[in-house]
Amino acid sequence: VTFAEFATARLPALLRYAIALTGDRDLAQDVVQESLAKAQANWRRVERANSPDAYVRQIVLNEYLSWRRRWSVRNIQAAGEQMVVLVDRRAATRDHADAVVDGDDLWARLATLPRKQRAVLVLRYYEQLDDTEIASLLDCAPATVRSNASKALKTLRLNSDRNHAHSLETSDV
Amino acid sequence: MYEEREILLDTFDAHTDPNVDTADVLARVDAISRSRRRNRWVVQVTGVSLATVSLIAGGMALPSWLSDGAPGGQAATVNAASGGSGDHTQAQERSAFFDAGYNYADAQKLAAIWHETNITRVKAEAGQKLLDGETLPVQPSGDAIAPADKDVEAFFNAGYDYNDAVTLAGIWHTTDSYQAKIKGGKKIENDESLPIPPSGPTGSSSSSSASSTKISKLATKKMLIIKKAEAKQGGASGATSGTTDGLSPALAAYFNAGYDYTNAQQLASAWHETNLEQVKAQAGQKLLDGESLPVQPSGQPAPPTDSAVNTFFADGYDYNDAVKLASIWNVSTYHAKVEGGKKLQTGETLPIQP
Repeated sequence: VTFAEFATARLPALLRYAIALTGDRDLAQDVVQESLAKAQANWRRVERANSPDAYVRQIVLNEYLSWRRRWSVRNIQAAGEQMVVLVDRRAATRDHADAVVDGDDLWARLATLPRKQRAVLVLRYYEQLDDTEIASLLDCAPATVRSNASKALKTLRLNSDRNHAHSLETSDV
Repeated sequence: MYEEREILLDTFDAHTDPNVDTADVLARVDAISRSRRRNRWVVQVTGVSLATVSLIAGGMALPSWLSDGAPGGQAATVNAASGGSGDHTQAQERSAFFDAGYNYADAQKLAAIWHETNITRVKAEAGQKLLDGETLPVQPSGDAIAPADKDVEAFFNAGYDYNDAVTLAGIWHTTDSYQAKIKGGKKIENDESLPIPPSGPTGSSSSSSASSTKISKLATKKMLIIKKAEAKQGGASGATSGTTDGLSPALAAYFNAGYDYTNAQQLASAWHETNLEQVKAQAGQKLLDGESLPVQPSGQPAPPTDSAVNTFFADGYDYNDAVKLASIWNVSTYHAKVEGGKKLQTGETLPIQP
């Protein structure tokens, strides 16, 4: 597979992954552009990897983590907090429309998470990786992954000990 | 029960539609790569010849330090194509920023100078200034869009798509479809005709107006790819008509089954075929027809659910459609995406249009 073929085929998925990580389309585009440029520069090595896709996703993850270190953590968090304040906190009958609204609310809450916690959630729920795989990607212990996930879910008020997830938003007004 | 896993998955899926022109992103990737390969002095030497090429349609010019042939000039400018401040969308401003050779590091420098912490706002502000013909206080780290990128852009603007590039690569015996896009784009720019007609309508060549139509163009491209794939498939297998991430069904089947470039080389050898694009398409078609291939895939097959969800989105459906389908089928949104994708993969229609 040439780099051009790979990039053309995988770009939409990489962009979705980066948006899930960053929560910001523009930033995601920048992260993916930087990541693909790195992949292109080392394409022979990437191509020889067992899974070029996984290799590039690792670059995207590293890029996200390092970018978030370099800049504007507070901006993204502030934006998220603002969205949380503005969100419609309906507590009435639940239906799919409400689920959409809650999705926006949750998306805003995700923006308030520390980068590693958000990365853990994206890798566990969006990428559907197990904690061992996540630990390998983040270069930490599986226990750290579980700890980060637990903290993140607590912040998002999505702890599984709260039996009825739909009551989450009603209790945080 | 609405589990936390599904709540999060739905939330991610609902908010991760890229809505960008992939050709545009790929052009920028190439620009970043090139700018890193070159030393600045090389850029300065080639700047004059680059500047003579009308790289950016819609009146946008190269950075002044390039177009003036005066290395060390202070800033980049872009001629105002139409109107002044406030006439440009954020996408246009962003495009102007990147197309002029600026990157994220430059935005950081500008942010420091302007005492602005929001980098996205900095890029938009800088892009607006460039579009208004103003100069920026820092030089771009990279160089502006190069001829190859414009060739690719011309290729897509003429209505050609990835599948056309694959076909042309076969006709011209180029090394890959990217080279076919460049060659095709050059011919289009020289008013030469290509051996095949474009799959889609001619696009706008104005980058200043292109941004506003990017979303619809992207949607159109996807639909055209799907329609063309369906036309090619028609009657052959009669089964699958979906696409995955813009690939034809045959190629999607090939890659989703875990086959890669090396396997294509092995198959080419076994089948005494030299065109690897054709080998992959032929192999994918065999897989779609339920046949086995003489070599084992190097990789792991894509999980069926991923493939189904990808197909769901690739066919133009979005989160809100999944919500509607979930309501109709009385399943969770995630399962609606999976079920919908599976139906699309087997050529069935869904109860709602994307």
